[in-house]
Amino acid sequence: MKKMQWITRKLLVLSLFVSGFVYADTSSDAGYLLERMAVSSKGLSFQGEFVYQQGAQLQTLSIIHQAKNQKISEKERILYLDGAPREVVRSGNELFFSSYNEGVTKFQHGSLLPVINKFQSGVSESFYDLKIVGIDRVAGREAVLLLVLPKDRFRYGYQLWLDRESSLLLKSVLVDDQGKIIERLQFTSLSIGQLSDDVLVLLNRKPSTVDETIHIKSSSAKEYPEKDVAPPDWETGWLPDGFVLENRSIRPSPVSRHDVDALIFSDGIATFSVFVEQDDTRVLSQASEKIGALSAVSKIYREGDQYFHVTVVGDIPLGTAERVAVSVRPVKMKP
Amino acid sequence: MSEKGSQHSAREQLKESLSVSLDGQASELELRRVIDGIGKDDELRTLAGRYQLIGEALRGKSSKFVNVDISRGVMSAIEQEEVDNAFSQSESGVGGSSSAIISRSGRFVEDVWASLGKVAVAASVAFAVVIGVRNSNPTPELQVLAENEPAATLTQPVQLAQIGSNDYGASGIRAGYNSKQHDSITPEQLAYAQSLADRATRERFHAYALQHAELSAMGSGQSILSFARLTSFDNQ
Repeated sequence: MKKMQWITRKLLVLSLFVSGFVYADTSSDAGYLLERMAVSSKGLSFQGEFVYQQGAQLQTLSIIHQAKNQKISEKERILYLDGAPREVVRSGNELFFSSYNEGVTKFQHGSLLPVINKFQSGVSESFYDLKIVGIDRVAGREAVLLLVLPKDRFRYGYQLWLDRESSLLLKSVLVDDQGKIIERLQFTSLSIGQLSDDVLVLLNRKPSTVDETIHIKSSSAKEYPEKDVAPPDWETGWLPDGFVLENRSIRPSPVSRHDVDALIFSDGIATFSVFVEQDDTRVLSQASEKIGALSAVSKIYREGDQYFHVTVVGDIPLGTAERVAVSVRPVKMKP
Repeated sequence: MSEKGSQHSAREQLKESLSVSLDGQASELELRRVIDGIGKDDELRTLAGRYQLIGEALRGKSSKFVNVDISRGVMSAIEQEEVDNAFSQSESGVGGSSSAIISRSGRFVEDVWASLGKVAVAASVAFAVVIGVRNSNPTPELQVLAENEPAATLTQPVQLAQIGSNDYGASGIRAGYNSKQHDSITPEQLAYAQSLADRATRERFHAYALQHAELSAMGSGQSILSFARLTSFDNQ
């Protein structure tokens, strides 16, 4: 009986919330929320802990984020709290990934990357239906639940819980076209605002030794062509609608001694990278794998005597990644 | 008479194995038989092409590879490989100093490839013989073909593996081998080669998943999801 009452009350409360939000149920409001979320996640300082679930795995992570101001650049530290100790430290144009097993990798960018406005409203609304569906509570905070539903099968859908006050992402659920949940990310605690001094000390601590430094030469798609980044001699023959090149860079390959072309594409919600490098292994193989939300496809193409290895990685369905990988081809040289 | 009868039933069995292997459910032994048979038998090869088309129609896909004779490409690739291996062996004797500067993960992958040798070449490519269809050139003179081969795509094996049976595990390279050239391979060696190939692939994906996380974090300023996703690799 008591349980019945509880359920009725919950329903009542829920229906109140939903009806209260019906007036706001237009996609431009939803688009505004997404935009605000992108701005907040860069422009606010916050710290918190969150869980990440994928398949049968559940992991806890913590994050400290310092917004950019006149004196300091944007800084961020993500710590994996379970299993082997790992952490990510991002500071200006440097990023350190430290792993207990693999040592410290430092990514050094020649210049600060231009910001991709992930969750950009204009782009997103042509390829996703955006709907505000209600109010919920996550990590002790009031959250607006937003559905991001893809209009075709080339991308996944999201359910996003955004902080009502700041629009920061509090919870994210990734669903495939069958409605199956692929991954969940959810804050368990979050505090927004000025970081305390001892937290700042933690944030400023960079790894003392670096085992491997990856120097990256990059240029944004808009600034292209730039002197030190030559255009790649390959092209993607097919891209899902809405995905545009955001950045291209050249970096040492993590698996061979060649340099690898790295291109990142985004539709405002999902992103994937295409890596192309010369292949010496001469072991012709193709493989595809779905690792949680990430699809990874590797493929070889051949031009004359040379073999090239294409790797596509991103939070897109495997079929999309495979289609992109297969479409990569050499650019025909103009005489 | 009885011999002819048994030959007939062997053929029927082979066709059945072919159908099974195109569904990606054949055992290693069946694969081997089919690969053997398909090399010798024009009729079987045509059949393989038809099965492939039917299968694709059923699955609602159309294949870009249907008119491409992959088996020819694979054979020439194997042929080519013999030469390359000999070449890279002699090269590694000279280039010792340059190999010292490559990264750790790179070294691992190279070690793996090195130890894979011909076994893996055969293992990773020869399955394509099964799914490579419609031999448009029935008189393959391998060396000549290797030189004249025009398009890059001819050497591409097609992934047939059904992914999705497990959500976060690895589904490696599907492998078979061409027993004509590698009669001495035991199933143990084959399994070993396959596990090495799987491991190298996983290692490669892991390395690139980190690069992708870095790229998208630096680009979008949103590292939470990008880096949380790397935990998916931990249990592999």
